[in-house]
Amino acid sequence: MPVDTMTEMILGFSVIIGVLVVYILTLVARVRRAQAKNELISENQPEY
Amino acid sequence: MTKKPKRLTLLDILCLILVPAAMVLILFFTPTERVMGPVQKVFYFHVSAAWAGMLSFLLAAAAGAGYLITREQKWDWLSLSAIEVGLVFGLIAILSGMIWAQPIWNTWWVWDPRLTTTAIMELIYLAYFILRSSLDTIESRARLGAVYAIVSAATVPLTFFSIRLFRTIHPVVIAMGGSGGSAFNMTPRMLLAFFSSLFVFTLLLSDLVWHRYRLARLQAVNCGEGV
Repeated sequence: MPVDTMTEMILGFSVIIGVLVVYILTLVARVRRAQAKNELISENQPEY
Repeated sequence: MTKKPKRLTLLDILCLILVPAAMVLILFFTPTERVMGPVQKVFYFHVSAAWAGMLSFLLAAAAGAGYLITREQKWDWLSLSAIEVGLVFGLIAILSGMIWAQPIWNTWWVWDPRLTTTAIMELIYLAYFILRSSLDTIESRARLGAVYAIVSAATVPLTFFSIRLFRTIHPVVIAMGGSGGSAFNMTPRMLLAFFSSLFVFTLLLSDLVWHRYRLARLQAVNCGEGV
């Protein structure tokens, strides 16, 4: 009879997916911030 | 910002489909292990995350070597990206391992050679960012970062082989000659889920490193470092 470790399994997968999702969200946020900065720089560049 | 490549979009879609598919495979297709019960299923993603992390650190070292040879900034961006993503996968491996260890070893953490070398590897790569932030010029950041990435790569084989070199309670997944630790005897279904997870996490690693590389390039452009 296997040990009942269902709670630990759910916790394990939640942590794995959770860490990945948090990282992806921070990556998306940083990309958006960098893109916005890039657009601002392009707009403010003097025309020669 | 250059347009997102079609191959990257394809990789995004593949990851969005294959990560949940691998999870379904693990949860509903693999048998429940006789002694450990359902928590053993975490092992598939735990090993895959550790694999992805180590692969990423080796990629960072290769990119570091690329920078030292060519002095092209793109290698520094790749090295930086690979280390950041590798740290995320390393963290996943450590946390999921701790959750597995709690009911099996009756403790969250032991100073076992595998766990200790993994923690040291993670801390060494964390220090990479401290080193970079302490340097002023782009050139010194890239050059010292490259050297650091190459030297730090020594921790990868040390961590991988720690369960074979030292006495350990950590299970040996890929058993060769039955040396050290206890090997998992996997059924064909378990093996299928295991190798599928390894493949999916390798794809996910490529996808995340590619995205992080694009961010590094964009940040460099914004700071006037050029492309």
